[in-house]
Amino acid sequence: MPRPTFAAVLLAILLPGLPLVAEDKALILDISGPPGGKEAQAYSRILAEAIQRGLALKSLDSIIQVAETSPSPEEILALAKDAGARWVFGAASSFDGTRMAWTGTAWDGGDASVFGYDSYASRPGPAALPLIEDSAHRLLANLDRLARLDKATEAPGRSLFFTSQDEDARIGLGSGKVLPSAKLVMDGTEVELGTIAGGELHTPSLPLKPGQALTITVQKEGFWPLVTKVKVKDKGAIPLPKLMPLTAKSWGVDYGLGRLLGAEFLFRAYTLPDQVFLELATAPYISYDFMPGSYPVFHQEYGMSIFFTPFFRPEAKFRLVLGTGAQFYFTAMTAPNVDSRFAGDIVLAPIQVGLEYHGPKLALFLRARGLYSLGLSGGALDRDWLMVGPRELPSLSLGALFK
Amino acid sequence: MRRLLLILGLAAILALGAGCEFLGWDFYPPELQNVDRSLDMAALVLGQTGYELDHVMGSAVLRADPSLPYHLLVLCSLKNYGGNAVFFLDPLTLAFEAWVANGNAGLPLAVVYDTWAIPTGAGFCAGYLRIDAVNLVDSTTPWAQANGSVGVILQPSLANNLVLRSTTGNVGLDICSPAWAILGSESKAVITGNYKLDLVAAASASSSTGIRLLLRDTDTMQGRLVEFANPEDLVSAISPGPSDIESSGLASKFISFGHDLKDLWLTDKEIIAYEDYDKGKLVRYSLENGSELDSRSFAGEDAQGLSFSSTTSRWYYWDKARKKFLSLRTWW
Repeated sequence: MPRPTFAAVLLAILLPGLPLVAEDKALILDISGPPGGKEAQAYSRILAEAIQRGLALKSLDSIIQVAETSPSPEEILALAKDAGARWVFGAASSFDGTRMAWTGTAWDGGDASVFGYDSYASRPGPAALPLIEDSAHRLLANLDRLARLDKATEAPGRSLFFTSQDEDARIGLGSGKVLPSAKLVMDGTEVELGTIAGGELHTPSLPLKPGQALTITVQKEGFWPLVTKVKVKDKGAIPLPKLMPLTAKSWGVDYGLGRLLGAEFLFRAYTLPDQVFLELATAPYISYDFMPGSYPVFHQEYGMSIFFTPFFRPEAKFRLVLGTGAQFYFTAMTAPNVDSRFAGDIVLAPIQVGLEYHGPKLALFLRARGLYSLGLSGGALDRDWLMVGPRELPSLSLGALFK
Repeated sequence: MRRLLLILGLAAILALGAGCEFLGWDFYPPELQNVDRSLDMAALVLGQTGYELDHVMGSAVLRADPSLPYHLLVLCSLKNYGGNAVFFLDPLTLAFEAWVANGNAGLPLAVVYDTWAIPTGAGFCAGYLRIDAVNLVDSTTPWAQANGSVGVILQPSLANNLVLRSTTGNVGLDICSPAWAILGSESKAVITGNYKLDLVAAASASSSTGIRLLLRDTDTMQGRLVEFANPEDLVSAISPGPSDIESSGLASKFISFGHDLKDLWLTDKEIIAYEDYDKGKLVRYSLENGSELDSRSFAGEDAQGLSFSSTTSRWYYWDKARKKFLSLRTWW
């Protein structure tokens, strides 16, 4: 007997109210996934057919219908109504190149509650066929259990109550992996629970015990998907952490040594959200020591750098940022008689290190830069590493980013 | 954000009130704020002499006689065996006036009595080279007496040139006639037993008959200002008799000043020192008591022929990195 990777965790439940559908009819969804995954599609079909054979043995009529994605609770209700079927089964599979994973889900078409679930994985090939058959049997065993239950006396399942600040976020049951592109790749065991509306979600009734740990996913367009564990509560809400928005562009300002009478303004365009970005910066400032005989000298810096954030998750609050780039410094002297009034310097910024603290809308950062002037003709700087003032301090700045 | 702006505003007001130099700290040399004029000296030298400029050896703002204008003398070393040349510039506009070379130009740049100088009896000296102060031309055959000395001081009462030299803790003195005949030579320790005192500058006071000598102790890196009421007291202090200048009792002032001194200049109104401190800075000291008056950051690595003039309220140097001769406003 193979051991399930994700045991048949969801048990049968009974819900009040009779559906206007045939109790002896079932709809089987062959969730074949997007076009192109032919191997995976074949296995979802095998699982759907195995479920159909099992239902036939229990004298239930069923039809198989192809679906591209796992249906939402609303879609379950609509599909069951359209098919005139009380029971809805889902057969899904995925293939990662070496392993084939499949998932069977059983819904009550009357209220979209999940009453059965089974998932397993193996190498593709004929050896997988009996394992798929076993999965179908385990899934249908839940239907048998459901039939044995006394609907009048059996306590109903447990509805989860989530609260979240992320309106319209979709909550799902199951685990997955967040890719650098901010896409969530599920491991084939997902079950959609619903969408946050009005700051909360009451899920359909589920066969869960208080204290039980569940892995859930929270997704919303424009935000980093969240994969997290929650504990089932006896009562009360399960608050969900606020999702971190995907940062595709931001602008900011910083102030620090080297330009005490000025500031730097910057714009970031991210090629990978929150991880790799191109930064364009400009910094107007004045050199002026307020001493007799001094005239202000205006400077305008233009810089372009590329940065990345290693070691930390892209949606992490604390991040280390490393980058490299180049800058052009324009200088204009304001003294009345000086005849060579303008200068231009090209400066390399091969080492740039930043520590950043990110909130959803605002980030604060501390940045150190190693700057090397090429000392070309027409410039005002020597060929050397640039340091600030007579104490030769490095270029340090504090800044804020607005997303 | 409002609080941050408030703090920044307060910092700016405080800095304005205190004249804080640190607000000018950035990647740029602070003297960029003081630049008044700049001159493409390399092009000027090449155009006038046909030789490329190798480096600038010294500069000085001098006037041979109250009836004559001030000139900025810049002593240039030329490439390809071009020798040395003295360029005369307007000290305020850096406009070119003349250049003189006979292969013997050197340091010091000074005003000297010179029999051949017409019509004032005084001319300029650039080492061996004598220059007519009116026509700004080579005035006569060279004399060796002043070459390589610390400076030349005029002894008005006798119309002699007092040529001062530094010799391992001693001050050497040659008394030369206007025809540059040596009338006498003496040498005397400044302080007996201190062989680390170098005489680095000597000048007459403009508002009195006083003579000032500036020395640097290469051991302690401190400076000494020795002042005499007139040239005759200087001559007497170095003449045979007293064991050293300090104990002669003829110096009207004998004070120490500064620390980490690397180079010293003497103007009519102050002492200026380049101190090897932080990244380098210029410090102004009082001629009265040697107290520090003010300072400003100055790396100075690329500065050649640095000089200061209280007459023009400018300082000058050749910036070898940017190949410009600069005139800068003083910071006081």
